[in-house]
Amino acid sequence: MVNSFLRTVWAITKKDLKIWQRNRASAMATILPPLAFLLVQALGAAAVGRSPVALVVQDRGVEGAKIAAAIRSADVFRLHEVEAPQAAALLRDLQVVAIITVPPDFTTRVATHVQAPVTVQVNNLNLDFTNDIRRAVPTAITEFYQAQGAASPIQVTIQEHDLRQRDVEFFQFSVLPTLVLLLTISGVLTTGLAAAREWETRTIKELLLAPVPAGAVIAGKVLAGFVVSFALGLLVLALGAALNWIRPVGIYWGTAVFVIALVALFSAGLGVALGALLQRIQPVIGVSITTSLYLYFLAGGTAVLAFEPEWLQHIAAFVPLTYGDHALQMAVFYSSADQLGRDTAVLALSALVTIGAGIIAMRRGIARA
Amino acid sequence: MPSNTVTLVQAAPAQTRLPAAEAAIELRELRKVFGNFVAVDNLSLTITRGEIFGLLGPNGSGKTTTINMISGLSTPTSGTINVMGYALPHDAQQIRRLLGAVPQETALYEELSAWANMDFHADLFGIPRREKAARITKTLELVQLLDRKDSRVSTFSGGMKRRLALGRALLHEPTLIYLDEPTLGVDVQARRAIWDYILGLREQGKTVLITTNYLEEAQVLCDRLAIIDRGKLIVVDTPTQLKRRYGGQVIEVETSQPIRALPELQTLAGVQTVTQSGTHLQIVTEGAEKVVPSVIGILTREAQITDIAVREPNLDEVFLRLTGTALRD
Repeated sequence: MVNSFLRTVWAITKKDLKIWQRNRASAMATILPPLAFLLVQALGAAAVGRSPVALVVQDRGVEGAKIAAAIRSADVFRLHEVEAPQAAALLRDLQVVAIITVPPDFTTRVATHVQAPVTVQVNNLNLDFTNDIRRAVPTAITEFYQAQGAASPIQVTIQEHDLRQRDVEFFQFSVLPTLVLLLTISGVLTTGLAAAREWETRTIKELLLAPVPAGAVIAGKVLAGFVVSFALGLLVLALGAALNWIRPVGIYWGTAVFVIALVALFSAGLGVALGALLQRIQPVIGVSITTSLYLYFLAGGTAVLAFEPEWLQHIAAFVPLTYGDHALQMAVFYSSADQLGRDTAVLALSALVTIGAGIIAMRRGIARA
Repeated sequence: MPSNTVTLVQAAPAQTRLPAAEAAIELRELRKVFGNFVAVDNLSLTITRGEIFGLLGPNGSGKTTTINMISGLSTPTSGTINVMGYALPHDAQQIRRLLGAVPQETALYEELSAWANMDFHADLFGIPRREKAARITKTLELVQLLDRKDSRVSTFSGGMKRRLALGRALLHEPTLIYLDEPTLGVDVQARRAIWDYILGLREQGKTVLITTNYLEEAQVLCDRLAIIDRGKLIVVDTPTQLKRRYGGQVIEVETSQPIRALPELQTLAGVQTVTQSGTHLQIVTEGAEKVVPSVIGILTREAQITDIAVREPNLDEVFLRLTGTALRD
C-alpha cells in the first residue's frame, strides 16, 4: 500500500520534472525575474555605492599625496585620476559626477597651517549623487587627519562599535531576498503550471482514471515543485558561496539549507493551490509571478526591512517570506541563530497552510473535472 | 415526426436481462441531475462481456455523463452501476484497474515522448518494473508506433495520437475498454486503421464501449447500439435489427421532370415520408415491394422514370426517425 503510494508520487514527480525540463519557456519564466532583480540590485548598488569622480592632484608634495591616498582609501568613489583639462571634459560628458582638485600649494599650506582648500566641483544632476559626494569628501578629509595621528593639528578619533562581526555590502545583502524570490517563483510556477496543465490538456482524466489515491497525485505535484525550487536554491547558495558573497559557517550551512527547504515547500503548496484553482497555463504564469513579486516586496526584499517605513514592517510581519529572509540573513552572513525558532516555525506553519490549500483546491478541481 | 418518435419509444424492446456474471456493465435506473437539468434519466442498460457496444446520441444527450458515471468520475444522483461484477462507488479502484479509457481529447503529455507517456501510464497502473519495457514495446508495436517511440508526442499527427492513446489504454491489459469518439478528427486512412484495432479487441475477448457521432462507424464496429436522446434510452439493438425495425426500405427515383403528385404518393399505404429534391425523389416505406407498382403508376402519369432503386435505410435515417433530429444537429 505504502509502496504503491510512493511509486505513484515518484511517477508524477518524475513526469512533472521531465515536462518542466523540456519546457524552456517555463524554466525561463522561473529564472528570469529573479535574475532581472539581481541585475537591478547590482546596478543600483554600483550606481549609488561608488560614484565616478575625477581626482586632480596638482600638488606634488607629501601632504598632497596623503590627501590623495585618503580619498582613494575612502572606498566610496570610482576614481579617474586625471589632469585638470581631462577632468573638465569628463564632467562635461557626464562621465564623472564631480572633480576633486588638490591644489598645487596644498603641502605648503598644510605645513604652514594655512587654510588648504580642496575644491569639489559637482554636477548636481541628481541629489543622490550630490549628497554622496558631500558626505564622502569630508570623510576622506577626516581620514586624512586621522592618519596623521599625533602630528595632526586636529586630533580625530573615530570609535566604531559594530553590532555584527562582518560587514555586508548592500548588493550582497540583497542577494538573499532575491534568492527567496527565486525559490518562491520557481516553486509556485513549477507546481502551478504542472497542476494547471493537467486540466488544460485534459490529462487530468488520465490521472483520475488510474487506480491511484488522489493524495498521491497531489503529493507528487508538490514534490516536483519542491525539487525544482530546492535545487535552484541550493545552486544559488553554492554559487553565492563560491563568489564569496555569502559564507555560512559550520552548522549554519544546515540552517540555510533547512530554511531554503521550508520556503520551497511553502511555494510548492501555493503553486498547487493556484494551478488547481485557475486550471489554465496563461493565468497561472501571470498570477504566480505577480504573487511572488508582491510577497518579495512586502517582505521588504528591496532593502533592509528594519529601516523601511513602519507600515511596510507591519505588513511584512504577516508575509512568510519575511521570516525566510531573516533566517537566511542570520545564517549565511552572521552565523547566528537569532530568532531561528520563530522564523522556522512561521515558515513550517505557512508551508502546511499552503499545502492544505493546495489539497483542497486540487480535490475540488478533481471533483469537478 | 415527433409523434412517430413517441410511438417508437414506447415500442422499444425491453432490455435483455443477463446474469451478472455475463454482464460487463449493468446500469439500473441510473439518473444524474445537475441543478434543474436532468442529464441522464432512469437509464437501464446491460452490456455483455466480449461485445462492442455503441452509445449513439447527439451532443448533450447524456453519453459522456453516463460514461463518467461508469468510470467513477461522476457520482450518480440515483441508480446503481455494476462493472465486471464490481459495484460503484464502493469498488471504484478495482474497476479502474479493469478499465482502459481513450477519452475524446486523447489527453497525452505532448512534451514527452511516446515511450515516456507509456512509461508513466505503466507506473500509474502498477505494472511491475520487470514487465514494463516488454509490455510497452509490444503495445507500441501493436499500434505501429515503435519506430517513433522516442519522438515527442507534439510531433505526431492526429491519427498517431489516437493510436498512442489507444495503445496506452491497452497497456495494463484491461478487460473493458471505453473509447470516446475514437476517430474524431482523424483522416479516412487512420480511421480505417483504428477500426481494425478495435475489431481486433473483440477477437481478444475484450468488451468495448464506444461513443460515436459517426453512424457509419457504429455500423461497422458495434455488435449492439443504444440510442440515447435527452438523457433517455430510446432503443437498444443490433445495427441490422435497428435498420430493419425502424428504417423500412427506401425507394430512390430519378424522374425526367419534378413531380407534382407528392400528396398522392404520401397517402399510399406503407409510405412513411416523401421528399423531392429537383428531379430526385426519396420515398421511405415500411416495405417497398407492396408500394413500388403504385409509385411507378403515379410517376409515369407525369414524367419518365430514368432510374429507380430500392435500398436498405442507413443509421442516419433510423436515428432521424427515432429521435426526430439528425445526429449532428
